[in-house]
Amino acid sequence: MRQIVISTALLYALWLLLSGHYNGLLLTLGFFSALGASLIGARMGVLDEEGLPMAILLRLPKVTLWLIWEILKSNIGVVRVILNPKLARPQMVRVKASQKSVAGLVTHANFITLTPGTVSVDVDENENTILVHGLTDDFAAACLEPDMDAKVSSLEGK
Amino acid sequence: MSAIDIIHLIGIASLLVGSLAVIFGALGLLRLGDVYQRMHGAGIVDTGGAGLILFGLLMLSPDWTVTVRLVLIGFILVLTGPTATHAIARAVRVSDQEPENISQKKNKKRGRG
Repeated sequence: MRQIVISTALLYALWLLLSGHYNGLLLTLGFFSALGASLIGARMGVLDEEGLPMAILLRLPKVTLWLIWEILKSNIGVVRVILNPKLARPQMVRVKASQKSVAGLVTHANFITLTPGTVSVDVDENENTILVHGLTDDFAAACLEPDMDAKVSSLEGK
Repeated sequence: MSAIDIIHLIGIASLLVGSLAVIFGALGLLRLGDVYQRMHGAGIVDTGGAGLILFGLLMLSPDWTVTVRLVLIGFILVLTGPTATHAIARAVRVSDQEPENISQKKNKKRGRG
């Protein structure tokens, strides 16, 4: 029930932001389409903690600035490798993840892929590890550091 | 020079740097070794390129409806970009393509998941 309310509110907010038409009839129709979509989602069973991870979404702004800074730094690093491909020392490393939920683990893997120079190749949800392909020693070492893991775990807030 | 002018200048500079990032990303796609390494080049287009161009457009946006749409586009790109990259990486791994230039020692250490 709570998930349906949250989902309807989010969808309606999205509809309001995108539509730009604000008369009574359209506002009502928009509300009912948001509600209908949420009900269908609930019937499909996708409106759980995994499909709508509010805890993570609400805390996301906390790490946004740090993430943007990391992305900019590694962008420069990858451009340097592109200009001189001899610097590339590709390698695979296994990164331990301390997240407890699947949504948290996915967020961690996505953050790793989001920073250029490291791509998460495989996620093992049983052992909580992420197999990462790093472009150079530095990139691989950077994602072995517990920094990003701690940030993502703080998003879960459990 | 008014504040608006300065914001517009920041926007234009950001657009230029973003375009440069896209060019570097494309260059990376061509120059780097195997498919894993090339994905890092594509990553620049996804993050630095798209991000800076969106930021530049945000600075130049004429009214709030455009701003809202740009922010939403950015959010959706952040969610879908890495997921698509991961899908490619996983597909390559499942098809048993070993990454290039990985030293023997590291090969032994990493067990197959």
